[in-house]
Amino acid sequence: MRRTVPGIILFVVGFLIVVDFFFKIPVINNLSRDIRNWVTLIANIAIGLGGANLLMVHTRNVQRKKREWEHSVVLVVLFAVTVILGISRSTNDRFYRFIFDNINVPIGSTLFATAAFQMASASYRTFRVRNIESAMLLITGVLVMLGKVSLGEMIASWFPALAQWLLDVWNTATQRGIMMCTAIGLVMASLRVIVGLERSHFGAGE
Amino acid sequence: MFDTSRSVAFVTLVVFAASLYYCLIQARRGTRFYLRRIPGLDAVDECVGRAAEMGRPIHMTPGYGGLTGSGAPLTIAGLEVQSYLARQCATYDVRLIISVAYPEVLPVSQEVQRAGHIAAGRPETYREEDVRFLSSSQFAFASAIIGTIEREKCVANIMVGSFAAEAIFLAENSAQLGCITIGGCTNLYQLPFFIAACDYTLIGEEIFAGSAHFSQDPEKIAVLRAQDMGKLALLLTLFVAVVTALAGSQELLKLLRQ
Repeated sequence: MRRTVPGIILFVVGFLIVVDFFFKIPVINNLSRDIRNWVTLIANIAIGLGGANLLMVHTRNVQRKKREWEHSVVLVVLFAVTVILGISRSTNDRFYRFIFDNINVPIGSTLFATAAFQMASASYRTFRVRNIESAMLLITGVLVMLGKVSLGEMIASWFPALAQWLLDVWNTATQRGIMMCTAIGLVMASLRVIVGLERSHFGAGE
Repeated sequence: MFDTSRSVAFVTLVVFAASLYYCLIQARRGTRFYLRRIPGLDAVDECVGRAAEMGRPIHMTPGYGGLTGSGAPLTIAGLEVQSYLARQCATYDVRLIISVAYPEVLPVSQEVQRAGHIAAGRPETYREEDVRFLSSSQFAFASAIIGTIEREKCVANIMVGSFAAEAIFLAENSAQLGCITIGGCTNLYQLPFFIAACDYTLIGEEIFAGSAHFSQDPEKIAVLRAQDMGKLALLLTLFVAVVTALAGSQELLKLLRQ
């Protein structure tokens, strides 16, 4: 029952959404709109679950004095302050915006900025010749990099054109191949879920 | 009544549904389709084995995506991998820590984890706090995962689902922390980062093969066969479109651009 009922709901809802996409039938279009509203509603209710889970994990960290439990204290305090400010005043409140603009945004930007260094260290590991494929990757990578910097053009005038050709022909063709296969995979994965062939995400049965 | 601007998509869907039906019938009649081994999925057992030997946990995330929109099948693909992983981890007494970015994924992921422990015959080892909602903010999510891996001394980080700019951050930091890293996504801009930084990468559609690969269920393998038939149909259509375009007719190309 715990797997059958969700399976039936999923089939009916999935079928309605597909019909809504291709046909203009007022009853089904309205039903589909209502279903999408319900999805938004359920997702918003789930925020409470997420918050409760976050608090449960971090209060246990503090109670059990787990490693770096001090971070959990900071998280719980800031979580409480943000929720109280957001509910009691509003998300446009000066203090609420202060927390968001001066803590959340700069930390996010700082972490994003470190991506360049992560790429450099990942490239260092990847661009090592271990077999024919990695040798090809290294050679192509060097050619593209040389073609994209002024040094490459100084060495040989045809470097930029070669780099662009590698990007436009080889790279684009490969990317489109992956993209089209992924699109087919997405359709098939969705069909598999709608017709009930995939049920592992329903969890345990009775 | 029918939206004619979507006729190509409709015909495509009907063809795919028909190929799915045909392959399912074949599988039910006893035809066994070949499914190649996918190193990234085979490596999941390697992660469990290493974790069991070292007595340390595994970290897994079904990605920075929810259960709505076009990213939903990717999250479900991640949950399929989690389903197998949860069962294997419960069987070998390995702790599995799951991080989710969107709260609506949390109850589903918890249920998948619980089901894995029940399937392994060890429901008492299920720990609710091992499935964690972190944050829907991209880099808060990513840094919380790296913090978890570092604090819990995880031996492997498995990332299958929807990923964006945090992909390189997650993959590279996990590798720096000495984890076996398995990454899988369909985002063309993030795949090169996974390929560069991860030990194993599931490229594009490979992430949808998890369920069939792990279960070896003939019906699930039949779906992949239907997917391959769809790819063949697409290739033939493209070939015909190119030939007709070279012959001077643009009609098929115009139709495909719809």
